[in-house]
Amino acid sequence: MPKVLFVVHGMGDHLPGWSTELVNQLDQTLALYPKFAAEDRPFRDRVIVEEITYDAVFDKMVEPWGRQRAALEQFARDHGLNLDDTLTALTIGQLPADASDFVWETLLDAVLYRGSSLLHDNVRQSVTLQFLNAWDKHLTNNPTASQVDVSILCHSQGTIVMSDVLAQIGEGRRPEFIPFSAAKQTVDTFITLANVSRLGPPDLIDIDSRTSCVRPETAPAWKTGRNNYLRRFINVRHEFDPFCLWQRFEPKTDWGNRYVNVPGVKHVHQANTHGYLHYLANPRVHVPIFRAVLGSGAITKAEEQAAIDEFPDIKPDACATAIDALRIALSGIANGSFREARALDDLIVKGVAAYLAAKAALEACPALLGGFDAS
Amino acid sequence: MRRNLRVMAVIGVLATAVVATASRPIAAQPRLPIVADCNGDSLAKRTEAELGGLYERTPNQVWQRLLLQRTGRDFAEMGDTARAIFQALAPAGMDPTARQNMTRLLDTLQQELIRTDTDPTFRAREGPSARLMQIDEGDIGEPWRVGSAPNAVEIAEGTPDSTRRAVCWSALLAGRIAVHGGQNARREALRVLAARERRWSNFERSGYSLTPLELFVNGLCGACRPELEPPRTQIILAHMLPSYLVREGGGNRAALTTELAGVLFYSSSRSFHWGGSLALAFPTEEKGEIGFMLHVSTLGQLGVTAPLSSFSAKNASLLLSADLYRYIERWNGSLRDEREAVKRGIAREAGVVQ
Repeated sequence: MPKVLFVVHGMGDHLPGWSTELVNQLDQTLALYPKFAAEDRPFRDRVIVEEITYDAVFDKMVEPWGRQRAALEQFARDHGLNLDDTLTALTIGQLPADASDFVWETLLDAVLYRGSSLLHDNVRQSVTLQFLNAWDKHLTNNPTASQVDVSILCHSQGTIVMSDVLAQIGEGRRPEFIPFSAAKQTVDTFITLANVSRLGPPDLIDIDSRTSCVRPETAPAWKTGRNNYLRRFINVRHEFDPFCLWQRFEPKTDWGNRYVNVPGVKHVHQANTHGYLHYLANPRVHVPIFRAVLGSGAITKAEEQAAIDEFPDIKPDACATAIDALRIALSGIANGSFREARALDDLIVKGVAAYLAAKAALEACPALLGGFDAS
Repeated sequence: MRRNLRVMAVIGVLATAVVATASRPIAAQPRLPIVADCNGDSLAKRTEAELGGLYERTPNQVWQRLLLQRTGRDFAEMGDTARAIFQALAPAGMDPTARQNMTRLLDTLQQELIRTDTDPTFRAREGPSARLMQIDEGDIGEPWRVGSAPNAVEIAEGTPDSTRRAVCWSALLAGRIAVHGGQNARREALRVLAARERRWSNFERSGYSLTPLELFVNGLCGACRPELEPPRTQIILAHMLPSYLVREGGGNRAALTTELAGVLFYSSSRSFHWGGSLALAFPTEEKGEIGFMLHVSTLGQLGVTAPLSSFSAKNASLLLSADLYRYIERWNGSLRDEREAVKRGIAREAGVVQ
């Protein structure tokens, strides 16, 4: 039975091909376990990875703003026009001077997605087409296969996007989604790293990730007489991930044993505790994922426990002081006030604070730059 | 007649399998794990030498015969075969609940396959449900589950080989039939999605740019577009653009124009739009002028303004977006050059004649 893993990126700049680094790490990590140790590409030889990219939708919207502002300012300079009057200042002031900085390139993705249904519909449409095209390709092009096991691994903003997209498709919200809906198909495993699907002012969240069909089959039916969409749901939250400190994803009811909320993920091996590669380095995270995608026998309980025992809480040891300071700073951000109705404002404020804390940690100990190390 | 053909086809498939079963007994071998029967890839790797006569009843072999014998779009015939395979493989002593559940799953799928054959709308928009026959491996220590609740059949390590073979092999075959039966509906769904993607692409390429404020405001306008679609109607609000005011007798002025409010209408493909706005233009070293601006797709924006203090037709200026102004200037320059070249040519010709 062909196994297909869709990978969906989070906030920030992601060009086509972004998943190469991710798949390389999955190969290297899997090769750490005895059954796969002799293989170079044990993951990609068993699983077809399909990359989903939606960053271009944001780029097409945001990048012209910077250029428009520059063009207007240049035009004004060339012709001696005044930019100081109130209306002009207000009109031009909404355009960013630099659309490629951390706030506009990264943090604003979530704000724009929540803030404009026009943008989130464009993103959803783009992701839906990529997802269903690839899914159908594997169903149709494997005429001798009875079943294609589709799993999804998504991170950060990708968790919002995929939760929304799966809800729309799974519930058959539009007629064209019915052939792929929960009435007709199932998604094998939905894996969310840094699930921020509840992030944002409640009034702007049009699809509630806790009440949709995007739940495992062991959960109560999302609607009487209707099928849940997933066979399994693995949710991972790092305790020091700045974007998971508030409005966390938690089911309202008991979703049964096929909902796995991975506990005890709090290691710090790099200053950016939000990065997906550092999540996946932790055996508490990658073992359930490998078992779900490759089969329950992929890694034994004993191998799992040995890997967890060997996995250090902090790394490198020489950065212990910087890591302590980073954890304190992130805890401080977590414990600060949070206004749900102003969630997007607070996302920017807290996001910038976390960015500065990570930057300080990196300056104190450059070895916290990150990057996967299989040793 | 059609029913008879179907019965004959099923009998044909089964007869081949029965003859094969009778002629080649299964060799004695150690018990294999569940995966050997319930995972399609593992099962496909098993050989005729290993399975003996049963080999002809493996999903791959039956599927190939079905495709060869198929006439038209008779999915119900395929469903009959899957049911017949289950009945043929199910041992006499099979757990009655498992037998009943599996029969229900196959019967439910059969109803959908009949609809696929007889209802063009169902075939083009929905298709049969593949999830009815999904096989779930289960986590460590859990049994495998075949089919969807409430009729799922559990296959544990202790389940007799004959039972797990009957359940898994017929589920693998039926699943394949269901996926095949849904192909038209999936293709139609992707056609709809691809058409929508083209509309978004046209909107991004040919539409009027959106400022952050307009992105937010247009997002709030539920009447401007159906869900997931690009706008048919776009609101313009506080949108600044470089422009020129052109006046009779010269005196052209560069101006920063703010479109205070306006509306654009898009064609169904989103490749063309038109509309208008109320605009305020602030020219170089002069007071602001108010007027209207007309949008014609990517050709540019053209309007008429007059000073706020003396608003009248005789003081009116032609308002051109910078792009349109430059285009006209270039065109005008080219025209002038052409005219000059023609004049020079005529003069030269005249000189030759004289």
